[in-house]
Amino acid sequence: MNMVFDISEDELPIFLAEVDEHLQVLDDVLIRLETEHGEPELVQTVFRSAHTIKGMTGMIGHLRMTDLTHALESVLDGVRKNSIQISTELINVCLATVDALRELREEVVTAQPSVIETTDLILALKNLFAETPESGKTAAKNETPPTTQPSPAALAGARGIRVQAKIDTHSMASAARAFQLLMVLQEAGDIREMQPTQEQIELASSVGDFSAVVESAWSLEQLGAALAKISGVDEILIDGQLLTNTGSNSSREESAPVSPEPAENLSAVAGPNPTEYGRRVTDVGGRRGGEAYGGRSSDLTVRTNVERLDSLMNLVGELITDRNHLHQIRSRLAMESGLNGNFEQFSETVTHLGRITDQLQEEVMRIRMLPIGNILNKFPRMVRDMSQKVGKVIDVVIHGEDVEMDRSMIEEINDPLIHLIRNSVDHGIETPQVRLAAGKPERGTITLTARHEQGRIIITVEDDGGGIDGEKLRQSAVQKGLITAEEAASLTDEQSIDLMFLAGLSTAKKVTDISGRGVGLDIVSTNIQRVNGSIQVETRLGQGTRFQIMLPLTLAIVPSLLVRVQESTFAIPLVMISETLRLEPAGIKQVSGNPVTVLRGSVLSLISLADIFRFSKADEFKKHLFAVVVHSGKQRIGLIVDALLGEEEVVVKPLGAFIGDIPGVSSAAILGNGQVALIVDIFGLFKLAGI
Amino acid sequence: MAKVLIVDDAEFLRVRLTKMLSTDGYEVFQADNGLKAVSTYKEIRPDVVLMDVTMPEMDGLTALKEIVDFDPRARVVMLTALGQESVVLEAVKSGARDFVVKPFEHERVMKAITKLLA
Repeated sequence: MNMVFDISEDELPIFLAEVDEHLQVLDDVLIRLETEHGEPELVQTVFRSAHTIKGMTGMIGHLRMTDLTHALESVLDGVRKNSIQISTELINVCLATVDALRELREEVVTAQPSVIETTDLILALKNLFAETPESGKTAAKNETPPTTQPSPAALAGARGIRVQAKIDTHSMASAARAFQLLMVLQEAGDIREMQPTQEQIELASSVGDFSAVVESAWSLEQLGAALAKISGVDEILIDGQLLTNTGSNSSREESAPVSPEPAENLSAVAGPNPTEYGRRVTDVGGRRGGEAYGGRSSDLTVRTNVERLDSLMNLVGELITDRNHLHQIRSRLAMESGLNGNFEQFSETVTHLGRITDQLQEEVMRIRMLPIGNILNKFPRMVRDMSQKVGKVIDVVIHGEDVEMDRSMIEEINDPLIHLIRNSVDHGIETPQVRLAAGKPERGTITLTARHEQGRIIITVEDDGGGIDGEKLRQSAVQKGLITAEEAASLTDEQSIDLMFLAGLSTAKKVTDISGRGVGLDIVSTNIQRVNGSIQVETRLGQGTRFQIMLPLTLAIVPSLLVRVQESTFAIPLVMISETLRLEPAGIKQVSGNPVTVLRGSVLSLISLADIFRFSKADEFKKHLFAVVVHSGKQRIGLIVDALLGEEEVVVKPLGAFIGDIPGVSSAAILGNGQVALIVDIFGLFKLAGI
Repeated sequence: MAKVLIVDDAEFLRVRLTKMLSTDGYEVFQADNGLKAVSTYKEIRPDVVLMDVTMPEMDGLTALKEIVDFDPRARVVMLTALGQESVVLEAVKSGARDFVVKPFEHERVMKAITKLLA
């Protein structure tokens, strides 16, 4: 059976995004409420989000969502008014409600009913009230009423008019309707007797019958017109005469909508009638629609499909390639034809085009940016759930959630981060007993930090857990046959840490459902390398572990150093490069058959890109070569190349299924001169070189 | 053409109301919190304001009071929800001319507006 919601195609994305946003706020802030004990500002925030979801889901007629959010809102309102205490149980029930709401939200997308059962949750939410001794009901505020008693001054020509009204008691806030009647009568003159009394009205209890005598100089018509403006009043009698135009204007929709109301008869109310408005629409639509929609004061935003952004980015990529090409043509022309008027003009245009392309690229990239908080903010909830399962107590601290990243990069980084955090929860942070015994605070902390640094993004995942034991890693790697005992013996503790990125290595004593089944961190590292990023780990036994992920700003365009190896051009992502060196052939030494050089007093291993990619040996003797020093984890290595060609922002093109994976190469790029350059995969290169 | 200012923090609600109202020939303006509502009110002097109650920055009740302070003739309709009875009473006391309960139907909102503009 298909579910039907009252929502149009164009409203749907707005609705979904907004519901998501508020569900995320609920997730984040509920967890903070638990630790920060009911900070009023936070309570207000969660209450508001629940309230907004209730309002929105009500509008599309998603009753199950509305009912569930209403129950949640009531609990949060209780917390807000201090009639319910925050407890772990309360947070658990509220978070379970948020989960259920997420499932129910899917119904709006799929139009298929979900299996989620809400009655138990609503009951659990209601039971939260029962647990608190004080009732959640709040007495209506009894503020000093404005002066309402009849003033002694009698009005000239005033006479007593009896006003009687029936208010729909099923409607919400019938007292407010009574209050509106009271206000009109006060304006008209002096109220002599009134039932219910103003005090009763102000207690906000329900009001059905209203009657009053007002001493007024107004004509009956005047009074009738004023009273007719009040909604939700079924019947008004003035001096016993039925006010004709109220009946049809009364509204019952404040109680649960029962049936659609018949067409309205508004003729008695002076004012433009519906058809008149209807006619104006055509008049207005084309001319003013846009402005009215945007609204002068509203946020001037447009929602658009991600695919459009991707294709825009592709086009910008093409443009960058052309710009690079134009720059090269210009250099050639300058040499060939020298400087003349035409060339000057051409050159200026190329410069201008280049500048515009840069700006365009920057703007497009900015549009594609999302705050990394979008993913980081999910982790406190995840860590809370996981740590409860393994009997640990862990706080999550987040810094830099406003740092913006390309949305596709955010998607790519999500899984590696989940993996690292799971690893910290499972293997990093110790149980409270172990921590206390080690003289550490009972609660563990995982700190997530994001920041911009020199045109790249750095994300760290840090825990104050037990750290990683290099010796254990070495033993484990030897046991599993990943390295030989001799190799293990030659590794320092620091170098051993990088062993954790080897496939097939997992030091966890037992498999848990959190960190997975022996899947090592190699997946993490592979994923990060795939987006031209890199990862480093630092650990201190007994004190904690820190993973640092470095990423380029975008996936599509990689600032690279172009190098030449014989006739081929390679691109090395700048994010991987520490420095470049000029090498004299005499400076290259051999250590157990492998080339090395000495860099500032320490030995740097070298690999020749020509050897790695099995180029035939060049005959010519080179007077000098260059080394590009790159890093992967703690390892550094110098790549021997023939020449450094310069930096270029290369537009990444996947190699495609036809060519398939080439070891040591991550993807390809088309250069300005139309040549294809292979983008070097540093991590793969390290593997190829057996490092 | 009558000007209506919609004040609600939920974009979805603003979009829906804007659609309803511009179809019926009103000129629509939007604000997503009370603070912006007050400044927009002063700037454009709308004929009717539809004001949500629960909003960040400044709630609807406070915004209502500031608007009525500035312009005692302001026609403000509160957009409210079940469970906000006492707020509604306070809003009416503070000068709200009407209130509409969410979820509302097209006719209900239109009726509130036409009544006030009468």
